[in-house]
Amino acid sequence: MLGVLEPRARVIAVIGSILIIVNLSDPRLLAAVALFWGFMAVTSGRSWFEPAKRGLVGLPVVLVLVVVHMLTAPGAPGASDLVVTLLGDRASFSVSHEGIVRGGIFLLRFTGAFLAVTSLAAVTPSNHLFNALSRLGVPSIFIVTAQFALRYLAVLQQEGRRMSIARQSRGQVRASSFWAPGAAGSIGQLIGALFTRSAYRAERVYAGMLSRGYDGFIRLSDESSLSWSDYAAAGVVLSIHTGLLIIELVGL
Amino acid sequence: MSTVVSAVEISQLQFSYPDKTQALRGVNFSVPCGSRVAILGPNGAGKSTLLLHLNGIHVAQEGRVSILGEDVTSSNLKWVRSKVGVVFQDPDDQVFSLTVREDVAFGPLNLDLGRDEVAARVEDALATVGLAGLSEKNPQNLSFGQKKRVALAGVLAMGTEILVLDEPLAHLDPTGQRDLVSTLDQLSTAGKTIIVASHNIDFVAEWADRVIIIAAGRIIADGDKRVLLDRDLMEKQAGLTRPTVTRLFEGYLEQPPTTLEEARHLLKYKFC
Repeated sequence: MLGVLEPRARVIAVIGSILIIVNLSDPRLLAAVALFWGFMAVTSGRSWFEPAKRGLVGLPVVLVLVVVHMLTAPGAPGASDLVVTLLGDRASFSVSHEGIVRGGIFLLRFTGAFLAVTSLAAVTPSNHLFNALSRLGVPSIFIVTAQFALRYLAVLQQEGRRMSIARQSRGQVRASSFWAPGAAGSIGQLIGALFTRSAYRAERVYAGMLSRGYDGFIRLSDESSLSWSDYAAAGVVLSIHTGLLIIELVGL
Repeated sequence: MSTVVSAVEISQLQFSYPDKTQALRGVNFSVPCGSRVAILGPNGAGKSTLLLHLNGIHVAQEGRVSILGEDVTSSNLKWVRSKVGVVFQDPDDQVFSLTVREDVAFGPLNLDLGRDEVAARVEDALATVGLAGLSEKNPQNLSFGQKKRVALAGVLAMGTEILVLDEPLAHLDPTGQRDLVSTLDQLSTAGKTIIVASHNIDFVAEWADRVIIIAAGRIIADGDKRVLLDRDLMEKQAGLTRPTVTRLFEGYLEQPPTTLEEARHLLKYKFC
């Protein structure tokens, strides 16, 4: 459904929604937002799975932050509260009811924002996204840096594959584990060489782009224009989120 | 009195890389419009470095590079790149979009041309290189030769007057080489100035009107194809070899041929 909007409208709807999501504190409202973006993600079709899979790489960090929220929320421990004991009796942490709620709110906010961003990524190729951001007035330094990072990742992947083939062709055998003798050093060397090669290659790709007149702005042959329906649809999405925020603030 | 403007004019060009390697040491030459020029030299001679000055990727540290009478400076690079198209040796350094059509359109879009104009140029460029049916393909799934043609199409679509190619025949199979040479002939007939860097002597002998030989950052010869006959120059000074057909007839003729056509002529009229 998000895909029918013009890219700029999509970006405005998603970014605006995320700004509201991070200010919501009511778990029920956050769950409603997550359901809304879950519906958007489902209607994106199969193309949603790829950005979602990549985005989940950050899940361990999110879970750590959830636990930190739970453990650091102020609240008096009671008999019914969860007490986590580590290292025998040498360390124990109590998780209060407020901590669990706080951790849950953080997780719900992440879920809503994650679904919103991945819905956008599912229906917006990167060059359309950069073009939309440029046309929305985002300073080109940010866009050029993001383009470079994206280009660098693709180059990194290709160079990594080439290096792996080259190594295997010369008899390299994978270590049984990261902790095997010499494995860590070998991996470190590989990563260093990979980044150096990729940096040089990325520079050549950049020179290739400059040679064809690139000036930091990604132009599209099918550049679209915003219509009233785009404004309206983006407005509806933002209104839903704003409405939820008002409900929370007013205490309905 | 009208002055004829050269396509490219280079004067006392010097260039060193950040690690202090001096790649170019006082290079001078000028290329008239419509020429077919080959820059020959061994690996590390400075050919690619020289070519990158022609479209402002490297800006002259000392000396001057001018394109169609205008000096290349950091303030007119967009104009320079609309006049000089460079096709790199490795197409993977140049082809980066998700479809062939998008990649070829990249250059004309940067010239701020209208949508219809861009579409027309993309179609023409793809037809010229024989890739009209592959416009929706992902370039990464194409063969090396096809990617090279996409890279060339991407530059042709910009409609530059000067075309510069770095080792255009490298890693191409014989059919690919023939097709590319045929494309270059078409473009030359259409009036484009073409500068090719290569160490494929046989190709240079057959194709170029003028040969510039560079070694260790300096030009050591600049003239017509007869420079290729100089054994001392080609083998000792430049670290290259002479055309196959020249070496074949050496010892039988005082002035051996440089091209197959000359050789056939000689065989027909001198030996038969």
